Amino acid sequence: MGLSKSEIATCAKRIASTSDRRNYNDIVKLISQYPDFSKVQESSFEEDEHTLRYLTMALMPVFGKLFARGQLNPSKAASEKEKFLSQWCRKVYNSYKAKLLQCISSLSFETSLALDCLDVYMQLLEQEAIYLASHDGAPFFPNKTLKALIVALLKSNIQGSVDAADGHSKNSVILEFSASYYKKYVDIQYYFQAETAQLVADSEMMESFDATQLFAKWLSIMNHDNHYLSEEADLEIYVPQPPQAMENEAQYKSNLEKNWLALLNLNGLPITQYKTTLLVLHKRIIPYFQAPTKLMDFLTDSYNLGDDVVSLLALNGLFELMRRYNLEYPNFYQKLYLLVTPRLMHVKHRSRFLRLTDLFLSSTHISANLVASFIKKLARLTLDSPPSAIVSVFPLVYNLIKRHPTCMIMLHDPDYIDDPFATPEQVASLKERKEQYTDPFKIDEKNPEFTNAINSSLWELESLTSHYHPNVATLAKIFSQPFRKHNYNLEDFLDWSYDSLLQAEVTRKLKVLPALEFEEQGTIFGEYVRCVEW
Amino acid sequence: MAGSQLKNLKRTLKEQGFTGQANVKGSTKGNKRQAREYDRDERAQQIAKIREQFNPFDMKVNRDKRAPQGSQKHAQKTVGKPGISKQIGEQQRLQAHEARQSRKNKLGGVFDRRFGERDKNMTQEEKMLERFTRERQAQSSSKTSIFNLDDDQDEDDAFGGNSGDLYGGNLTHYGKSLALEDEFEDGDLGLQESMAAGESSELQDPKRKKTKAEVMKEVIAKSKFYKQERQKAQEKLQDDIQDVDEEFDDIMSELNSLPKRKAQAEVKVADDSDKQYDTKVRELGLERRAEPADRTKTEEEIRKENDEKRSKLEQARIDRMNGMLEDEDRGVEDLGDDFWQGGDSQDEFDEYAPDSTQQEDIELGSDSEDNQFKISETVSLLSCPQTLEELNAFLENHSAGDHVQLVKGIVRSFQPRLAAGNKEKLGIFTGVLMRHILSISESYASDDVEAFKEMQNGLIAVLKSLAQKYNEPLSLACRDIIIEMQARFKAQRSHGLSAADLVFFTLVGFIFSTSDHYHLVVTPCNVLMGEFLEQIKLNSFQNIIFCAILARISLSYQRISKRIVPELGYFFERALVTLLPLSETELAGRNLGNYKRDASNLNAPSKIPANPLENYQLNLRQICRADRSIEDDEKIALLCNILSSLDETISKVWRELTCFAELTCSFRQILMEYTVIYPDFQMPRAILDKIERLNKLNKHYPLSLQNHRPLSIPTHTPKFEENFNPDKKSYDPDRTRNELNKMKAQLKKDRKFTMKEIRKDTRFEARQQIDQKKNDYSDYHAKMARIVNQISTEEGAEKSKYEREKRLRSSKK
Repeated sequence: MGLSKSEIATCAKRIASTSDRRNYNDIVKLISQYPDFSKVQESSFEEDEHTLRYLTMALMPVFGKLFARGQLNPSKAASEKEKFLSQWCRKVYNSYKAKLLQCISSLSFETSLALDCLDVYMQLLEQEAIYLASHDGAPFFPNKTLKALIVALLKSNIQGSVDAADGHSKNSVILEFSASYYKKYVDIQYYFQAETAQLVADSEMMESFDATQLFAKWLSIMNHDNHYLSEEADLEIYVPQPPQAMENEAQYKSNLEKNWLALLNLNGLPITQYKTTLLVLHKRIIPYFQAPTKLMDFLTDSYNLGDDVVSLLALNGLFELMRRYNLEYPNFYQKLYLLVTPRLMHVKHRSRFLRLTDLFLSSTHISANLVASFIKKLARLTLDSPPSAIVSVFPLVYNLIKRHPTCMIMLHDPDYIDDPFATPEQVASLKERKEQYTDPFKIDEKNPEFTNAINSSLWELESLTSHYHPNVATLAKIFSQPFRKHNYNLEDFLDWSYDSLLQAEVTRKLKVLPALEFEEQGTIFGEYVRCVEW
Repeated sequence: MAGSQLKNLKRTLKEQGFTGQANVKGSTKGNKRQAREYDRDERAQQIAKIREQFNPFDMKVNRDKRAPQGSQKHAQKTVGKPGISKQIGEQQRLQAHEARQSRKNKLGGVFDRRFGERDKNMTQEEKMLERFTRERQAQSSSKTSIFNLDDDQDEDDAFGGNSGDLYGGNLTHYGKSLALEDEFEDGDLGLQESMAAGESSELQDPKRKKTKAEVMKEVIAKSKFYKQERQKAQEKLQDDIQDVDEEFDDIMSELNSLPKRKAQAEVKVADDSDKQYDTKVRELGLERRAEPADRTKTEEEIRKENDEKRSKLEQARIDRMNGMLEDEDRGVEDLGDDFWQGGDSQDEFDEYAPDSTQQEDIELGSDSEDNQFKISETVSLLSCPQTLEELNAFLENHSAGDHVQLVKGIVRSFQPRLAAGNKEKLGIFTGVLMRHILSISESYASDDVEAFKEMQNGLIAVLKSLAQKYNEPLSLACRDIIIEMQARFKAQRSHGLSAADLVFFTLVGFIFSTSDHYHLVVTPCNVLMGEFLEQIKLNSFQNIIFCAILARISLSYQRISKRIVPELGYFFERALVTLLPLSETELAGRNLGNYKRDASNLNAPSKIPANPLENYQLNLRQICRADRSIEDDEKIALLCNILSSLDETISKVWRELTCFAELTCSFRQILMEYTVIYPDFQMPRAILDKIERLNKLNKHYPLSLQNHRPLSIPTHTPKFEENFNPDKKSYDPDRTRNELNKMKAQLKKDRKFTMKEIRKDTRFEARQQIDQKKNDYSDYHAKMARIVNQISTEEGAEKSKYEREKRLRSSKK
């Protein structure tokens, strides 16, 4: 160790400029300048980083020259002696590559050197594709080189690189690889999937990685829209002559599918990563699968995780599979019904739940019992919900009743109308019926088909006509008015909150002066507000 | 009729005697008439008739195809004469066109001389003011007329002046006034007077007609008489002037000889009295006319009046509660009498607010008279505090006991009637006072609770009376406070809240009417309280106490309107579950795992006696001190308080709702747990019993909300009518649709007609234009031809002259 920049420069220049082979030994000297990256400390690395970058950059054109001189391909060597030289050069070259990969994989902190190494490595990969092909212009992709890179990338273990919010990896090398290479080049995508499929099959190797890190990296690389098979993808090829095999779409699909499933089956993934995956399931995963129904197990597992949002998203995925890919999933609505808990109205994902529930229940071919159970349960929950939740339940229930008119009996039971022209017997029987009546709804029943909600009635919604917020009270009156509106647009009601309600109130103009209290109420505490003292 | 048209015509003409031989059968010569018997008119009529008869295209008959043959309808045909109507239209158009043409390129018309009518730079008030002054000037000028002595005349004159000068100028004709005023100063116009007199006598006695000579004589006599009079007056005036001139020196000498000071004083005195007199007169003029004083009312009457007033207010409150906004757009005509009498309604404040202050003045005045004086003294030096800092700076120099008096002093010394701008200042002060009350309840550290309470209540009383008058600024201040509070809550969650916020909510409920269906201040407060009740995490006793007090306040808000507050139920559930001394797993085992618990270490003490506390009041000040540890007694008080709030909610608000059973369902479960854990504790059991009792009374049977009057389905298929009448335009049973169709048909018809007319007009215009051009063209050519002709004739003449001359000369040669 200890060559300065200028020395490196002269060495590299000497090798590159003249074809004098005696200088080649300097390459070994230069490569030996690299430290053992696994032992490098972050504090002491700062000074060396500069020199190392310079070294890397200097060596890159040296090997470029070697490529150009054809001294890295032993199979093309003209004589025995040449072949020997080529083999030696190749060995040196491999050791250079190994150093680059080590820099990527072993450093436990982020440096820009790793990014430079990646760039240089990818350039070398391109050179290999040109010069190491069986003959000039023959299609060739150096997949072994790529595989080594993938392994290095996956090995790279930088503390705190997993984003807590969405489970992506923030590792800059990964991001660089994804942004500059994976997203842009179709051949890299194809071979990346192919090589990863081989890696994934190697269970020992997989176990050696940290699952969270691994999946985070995978997400960072895969979570975009510019894919091999997508129609509007804008992709180029990286190497000049990629092999024909690359056009095998089915192979790509099956590789991708294999990779996804293998990675999704990793144990101990955090909830955030499940969430991220489920969020992009529709657009970025399902379309590229050969048999999307294979996701069913993953989705069921996600549902069983117990997190409300993840369960909901899993149901959303299942719904998509049922709708588009003929998946049979008999317990779907039961599972959905189980998510309607008292907590639901007070959590953030409420509007998403209601939006999706509206979608799931949009079929007119589901049973009235089931719809009635949902209506009744949601209505029950409104009794301790904030006004924003209540106003979003109203239009949903309205639309459901409109779609399933059989459920109207929950709002209007003609058997209990007070008829002013009834005979005394009828009046007596009505009175008896009213007295006999007990609510048959079973709130604790888990299966929505058996809750008997259809025989109950929506007193909850009726009571909300005396809600303290005038808008909610007025909206509640839609259930006692004729159902003339075709349906309500649910989106208009979903995104209310205390904030927006209050904003709407305080920006209102003072047209009429607020009315004052005219009664005397004594002192404020104790008499006006009782059981409270100053 | 047989034969050709021509033959028929000839025959008819002959029959009528227009053509053919005059006397067919060799009439006797003596019998021959000098003129035809036909009058010219008659003849023309006959010819017109014949013409009509023989021109079938002049008449157009509308045949009704629907009417059955031979019926009466068939006989009556609608007949029109399109040719003639066309001709009439043409003539009308021509007339209009000519009228337009004659007016073309000509100015004129009525000139608007009203003052400032077209002046855009003047505002309406300025215009009115200017007109008014002009009118007044005109009036006063007419009043200066010398013969204007009695009132009647005056009024007449005023009237006359009015009509003439209303728009700032006299009516004139060729520059002379048309006013019928008698101005005798002008000699010539004396004539007018006599004429007027003559006219009036004429009116009285229309039969006798004066001859022209008589009239002239009278006129001359009168003018002579007046001339003489004038001369006399003139002479007298001259004499007077001469006299004064002669005496002038004497007077001047006398004036100079008088002592100067005295004279000045005298003058001044006279001036003063004049001025006083003037001001008195002016005051009297401005004073309102005396009204009969109200009779002193008996106590019964006063009570009755108060009752009426109260019931009226109560009715208004109920209307507001039911969402009937009647005073939303109150027009001018709805304003009461007191609005018109009271001017700026400043007196209102005097009626309400100082009522209390005056009473208290008396109480407090007894103990320290000079203190009172001192306060008014200090207040009078101050400007009205417009920010909280100003008020604090003012108050901090005084002892807490005086604060109420000081504030009252401010209110009193800045009453709107005392100076302009006071009204706005006091309005802002109202908001400042509100904030002050909030800030003292947060920062007050003294232990003298009673004194503080007194001060607080005193200030609140002042605020409440101020609120009557300064409702709007107070409401705006409240809204600002609400926004601030929400921002604080958003930024720091429950740490941003304090006792002052509770005091604020209480004050809002105390001052404003909380039972309204919609209220500009209370509704946002309700939303905010809901947000707090729902979102504050119950992870400390302080938070639970805060919410428990909030629940109390919310209950006070709903004491009349009894509206459901779902967040309240949510809070009760959470609080009661949190206070249950059970671990999470135990809760889950008892089917209570669904309820959200923010902290597991906030449990009620493990033992509670049967009737633990007489007084389970919550102390508002406790919230200020977050670090304090809570004693068991306080925990029990908190639990009891929440339970009693729940009890009140159940028995006051929920009992009337149809979903009573659903609302109480969860509480039954929770209270059951309480009875199991605390077998001696009476309260939960009592509430459970109450729930059971009320549940039996509750109307819990299926709803029938859609019991509407059935609506008829609109039918569009034609229905067979028994007695179909083709004249009836529509048999549509839907009345509105019928009206609509009628309207549409009429619109269509009118539109068609108007379009036709417009087209005709344009065609006519075009024709006229072409005619005009043709005329111009032919005129021009005729003119040119004439000129050319003239020239050529002249040339010809000259030429022939020349020829002649030439010939002559040649012949001479």
